[in-house]
Amino acid sequence: MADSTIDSELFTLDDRWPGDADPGLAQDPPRDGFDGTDHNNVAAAAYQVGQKIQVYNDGTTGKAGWSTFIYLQVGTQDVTTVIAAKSLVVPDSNTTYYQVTNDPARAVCLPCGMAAYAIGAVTNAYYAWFWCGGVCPETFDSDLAGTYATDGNVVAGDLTAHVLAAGVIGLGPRAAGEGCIGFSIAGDVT
Amino acid sequence: MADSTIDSELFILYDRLPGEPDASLAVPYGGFTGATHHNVAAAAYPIGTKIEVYNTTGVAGWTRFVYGQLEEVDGTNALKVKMFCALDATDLSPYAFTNEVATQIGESVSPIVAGISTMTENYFGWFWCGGVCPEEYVATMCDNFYTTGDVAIGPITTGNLATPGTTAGEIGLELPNAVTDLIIGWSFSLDAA
Repeated sequence: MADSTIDSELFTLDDRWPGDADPGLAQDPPRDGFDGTDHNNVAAAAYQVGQKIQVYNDGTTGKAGWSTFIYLQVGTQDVTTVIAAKSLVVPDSNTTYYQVTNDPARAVCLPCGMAAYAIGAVTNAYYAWFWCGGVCPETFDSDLAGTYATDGNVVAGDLTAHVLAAGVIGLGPRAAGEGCIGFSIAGDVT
Repeated sequence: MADSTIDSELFILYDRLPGEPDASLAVPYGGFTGATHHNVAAAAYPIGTKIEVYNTTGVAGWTRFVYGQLEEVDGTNALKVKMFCALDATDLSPYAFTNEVATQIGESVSPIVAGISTMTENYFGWFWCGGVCPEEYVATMCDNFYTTGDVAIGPITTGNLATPGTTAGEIGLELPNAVTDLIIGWSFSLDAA
């Protein structure tokens, strides 16, 4: 089936990455927002890798509810389709779970049960924030609003990270033996 | 298969709704069914707020409540304590619930919550969404919950009851039928079928 899209308000992510969000950081959020240049897309990690912050998306933009960001490192990204806001990334390394890629050819495992969305461009080997859980945090990053790529088969229910026909990683329905990264409230736009 | 029931102490719910509990929140004033915040027209907490508490009546263990909206209620089988709800297909919010098969997003594909009292359509309140049954906090949640009659030891999903009713409601627990079914809990026993 041809690739399709689903609106940001019609699915949520299950946070499958190790660790809980740090409640202290929710009171002291990253300077200049999650895409602030002091800490996002930086060569030296400004937070511990795997650090998470849970925030409340107040519903003025997108769906109201909780969202979780995680601090990860990009391994080696796809040279053709570089990482941008709304790129779905998965582990890039068999030994270092927090190194991620958007390149299906490099992904450790696809379909994958650990995934997160980039909030902007990230340089190889650099550290950045990714959306990894809950509703789409549009209040905190307007670049995340709009549609997300799917394989055209999404229906209400569990989601996994698939290779799409376009050669990028996107959402698809979970099948037997596949990991789960969230759930969809509705079908995609076929 | 005929509908059946399972005791409140024989299963747990997996919290599949976004967000972690707020550790700074205590049990709400008057308990989770307190009239100032539960079954109210204007939300008293941000929707999606969760509170995790330790339950000692029934099965000991952690249990979670989520604050959400009863978006739709069935006209015949109005929501009561222990009736299950799924996500509503109209509002499409992860915290907007319905106890009605006709308005849920689909059978076996939705997260689940259970009502803790009667509620008015479109009103806001607390629902049990994870962990052991919170009998210490809502005494009327003890005893039987409805199933589709095929629940076994293992994962469970949501199922449409064959015989909806004013006590049973319309949505129950069910053995997953397909690998794509959304798992919303775990049963430690067969139901009473």
